[in-house]
Amino acid sequence: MATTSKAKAKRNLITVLVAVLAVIAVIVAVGVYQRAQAAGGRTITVGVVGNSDDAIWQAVQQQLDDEGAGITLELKTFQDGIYANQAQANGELDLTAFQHYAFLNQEIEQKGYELSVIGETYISPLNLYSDKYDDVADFQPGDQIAIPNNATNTGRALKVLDAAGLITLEDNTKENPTVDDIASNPSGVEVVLTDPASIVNTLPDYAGGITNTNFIIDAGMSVDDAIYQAPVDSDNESFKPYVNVIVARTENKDDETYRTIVDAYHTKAVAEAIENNYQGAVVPVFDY
Amino acid sequence: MNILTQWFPNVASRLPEFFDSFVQTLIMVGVTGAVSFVFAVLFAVLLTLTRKDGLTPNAVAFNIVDKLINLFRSIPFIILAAALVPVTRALVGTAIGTRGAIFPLIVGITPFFTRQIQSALASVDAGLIEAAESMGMSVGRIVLRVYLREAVPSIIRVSVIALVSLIGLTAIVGIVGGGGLGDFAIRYGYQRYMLDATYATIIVLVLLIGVIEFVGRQLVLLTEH
Repeated sequence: MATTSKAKAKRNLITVLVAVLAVIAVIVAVGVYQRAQAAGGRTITVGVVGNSDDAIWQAVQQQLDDEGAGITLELKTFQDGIYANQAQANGELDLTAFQHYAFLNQEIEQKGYELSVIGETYISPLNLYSDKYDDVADFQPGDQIAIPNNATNTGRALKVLDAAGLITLEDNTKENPTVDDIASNPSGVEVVLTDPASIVNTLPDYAGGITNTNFIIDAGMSVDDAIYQAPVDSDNESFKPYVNVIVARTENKDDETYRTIVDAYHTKAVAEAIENNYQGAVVPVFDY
Repeated sequence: MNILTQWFPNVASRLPEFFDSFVQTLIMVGVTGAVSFVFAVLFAVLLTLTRKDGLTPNAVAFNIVDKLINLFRSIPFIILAAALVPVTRALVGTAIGTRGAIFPLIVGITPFFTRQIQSALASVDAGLIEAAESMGMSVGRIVLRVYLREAVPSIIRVSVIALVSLIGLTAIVGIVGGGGLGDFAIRYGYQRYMLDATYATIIVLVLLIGVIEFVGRQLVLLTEH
């Protein structure tokens, strides 16, 4: 009895082993094939957060290919911008493109990174959404409004609430206001800080929520669903901190290849890709 | 292929990336599992020998290792992975990507793995140890011939448990750019609401865990007597 079950176990193991070896063989073959495909030219790694901009970077790559620039862009995707900046400051990434001036400046100030902006990309509005109400005036005292929990977007969301008249900030031009900067709260709403990606999913549980437009588009909603839209005007100086940027290490900011990439980004084709990708909700800020 | 595009449209259009993520998960689990197994066996043997009623009691050595394990087990893995970034960078040259993920994973899983193997060693019949001792066997030989040999089936069982926990941890290192299937599920399934990416990840992970458990069961059958 014992010997037959052992023989069976042995047979099973050999079967699994063969299957696993077959899988490994396929993996290696695919790896070799991919490497052969990627040969040639200079590869520039670009740190991004999430995959919302994939289509935009494909358009940039297309532009580079059309010019015969011989540059291959490799996107490295992070879940969190803090690590992307850390990796870049440490030389593990060539460029990053996920943050706005406000976030970058805060990171530079806190961590002493030597990073410089080499090009501006677009501005993405932050709007107020609600499943419960159709109008800002409907909010009741005690209603919860979810806003992003990272410092710069918290500040920005508070400015949106201030502009919507739900709260008033002591100074609405302050760079990164926090909940401590709320001077008065005429509507009585409760502000809840949470992960920006989860806000759309949990919107039914809150009276309202403010989150980045990329999440709204990805969730199949439209910017027109917002019950309050913060006005976007790329010429307005108060929006300047929220213009998204392409960033390089300061020592390499004049690199020719980087210049070529920024120039390829600042083209009509890419502006159109941005418009298409974000259904017009995100506004390119460059001239082409 | 049609069913794939129909049921998993967002995965079908990112098949190479999904495949890469799967490979990254395999690499992370394989390398981390092997390295931390070695450390876990070493620590577990050390703890077993130096404990109060062990073969070579040594309160200082025992307490240091024991408390260090408790310390590392108390740190939530996401905090540990973030805190280890500078150490990782100094050791492996990079803190991002699959290469950078392996060191924090080792530090994260080894304490748990050690506890598991420690309990496997504890299940070895004390009578056998006494017999070996009275026959004049050296400590080294008892460890190899009695403790480890007798505990092989239990060690395999607990290793399967540790490997499955390890797969859970690999999903978290995505936050430091570690890649892998968990990262894929978070970036597409969670952050971009492409639920099919999450489901595809779950299916692949369930299959992977199934294979690991199956192999473990067969090995236990082979080694048990």
